[in-house]
Amino acid sequence: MKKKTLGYVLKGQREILGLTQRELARKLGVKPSHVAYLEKDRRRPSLGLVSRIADVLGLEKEPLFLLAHPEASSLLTGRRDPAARRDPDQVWRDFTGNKALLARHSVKARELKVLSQVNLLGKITAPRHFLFILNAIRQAVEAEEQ
Amino acid sequence: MTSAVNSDAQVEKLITGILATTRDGEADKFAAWKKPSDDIRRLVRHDYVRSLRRNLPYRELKTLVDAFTLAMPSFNREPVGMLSEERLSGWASELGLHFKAAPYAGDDGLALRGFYVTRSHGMLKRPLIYVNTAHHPLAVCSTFCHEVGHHMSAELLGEQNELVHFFFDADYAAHLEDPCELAADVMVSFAAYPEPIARKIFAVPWRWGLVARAKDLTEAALAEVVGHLKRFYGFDLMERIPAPQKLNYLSGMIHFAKLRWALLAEYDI
Repeated sequence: MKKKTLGYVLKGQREILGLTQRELARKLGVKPSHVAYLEKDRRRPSLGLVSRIADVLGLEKEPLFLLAHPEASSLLTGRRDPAARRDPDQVWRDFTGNKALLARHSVKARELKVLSQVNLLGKITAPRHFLFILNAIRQAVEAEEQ
Repeated sequence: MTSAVNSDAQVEKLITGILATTRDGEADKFAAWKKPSDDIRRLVRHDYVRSLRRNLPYRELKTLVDAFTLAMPSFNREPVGMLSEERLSGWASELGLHFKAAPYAGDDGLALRGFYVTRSHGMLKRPLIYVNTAHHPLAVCSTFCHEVGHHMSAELLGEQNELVHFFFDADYAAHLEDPCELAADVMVSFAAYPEPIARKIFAVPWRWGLVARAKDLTEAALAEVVGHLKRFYGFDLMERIPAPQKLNYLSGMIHFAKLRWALLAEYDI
C-alpha cells in the first residue's frame, strides 16, 4: 500500500471530485504547476493554502495540516481518537450549515433531500462522506444520461 | 487431527504482534486501539451459528447462492481469487450495475470500504456499487462481493428499504444482527472459502455437540485461514499495512472465517 502523504491524499481527493489539476489550481488561486508539485510531495503548502485545500476538497484541516507538517504532531495535544466516531447528527448539521461548501459543490435541494435520507442511516462520520457519495451518484446519473 | 484448543491465545498473539509493529510516534494511539482489539475478542467469542439461524433462513441463503452461481459458475467451488478492477467492472456491467472504484484515503475515508446505492427513490435506473481502492486488493475484492450480495438481496429478496448500504471497516458485530448485512457477508465468505476448501480448513471430527461448539475457531483452523489467504490472495497480515488497518483486517479475517464455518456447521453448504 502506498504511503499516505499530503500529495497522495490531495491527488486522490481531486480525482474523486473529478477535478483536473488546472481546475483545482484555479479554485485555490495558485498555478497548476504548484498543484503538480504538491501532489508529488515536492512542495509543502503554507498554512493558508492547507486551509483552502481543505475547504475546496472537503477535507478536514487538522489531519491535512499534519500531513503537510508532520513535525508539528508533537506540538499538538489532545489529538483526535482515530477510533472515535463523531455524532452523525452533528456531522449532518456541519454539512448542511456550511453554505459555502454547498455552493462550491452546487449541491441542489433535491440532492440534499437524498443525502438527508443517507444521513438517517446514522453511519456518516465526516461531512466529506456526503460529498463523496453525492459525487459517485452524480457520475452514475451522468452515465445514464449519456 | 484438529487441535481442540480454541484460537483465543493465537488471536491475542496476532493483536499483540500488530500493536508491536507500531512506530513509536503512534504510541499515543494505543488507547484508541483498545476498542478495535476488544471488538476482535468479541467476534472470537460470538456464536455465529445463532446469528445465522436468527437472521438468514436456509431458503433465502439458497436463493442467493443459486443467483451467485448463475453469475459466476465457479462460485463456492473455487476461490474467486484476486480480481483486477477491470474484472470487477466487467462483472458489475454483466449484472447491470454502475461501478465506481476509487481511493478514498484519510482516517475517515479509509473507514469506508464501499457502498451500494439501490434503484429505489427513482434516482438511478441502475444500482451503483462503489469500492474504496485505498484498501488492500483483497479488501477491495471482498467489499465488491459484499456489495454484490446487497444487490442480489435487493433484487431477489426485495431488500430495497434503504437507499444506501454502507460497508464500514470493523462494523462486523453490527452485521451479525442485521439480516441484510449478514446476507452480504455470507457471499464474501463463500467467495473466499468455497465449499471444498472450507471442508478442509474447518473440518472437525464429528462428535455430539459439534454445532454448539462452532463458535470456537480452533488454532489449527485459524492457521489454515492465514495460510489460505496468503496462498490465494497474497495477503499477509504482517506486511506493511498501518496498524489500525491491520486490526480491521484481522477483524474481517476472523469474521468471514467464522461465518464460513458456521455455514458449514449449520447448513452443510
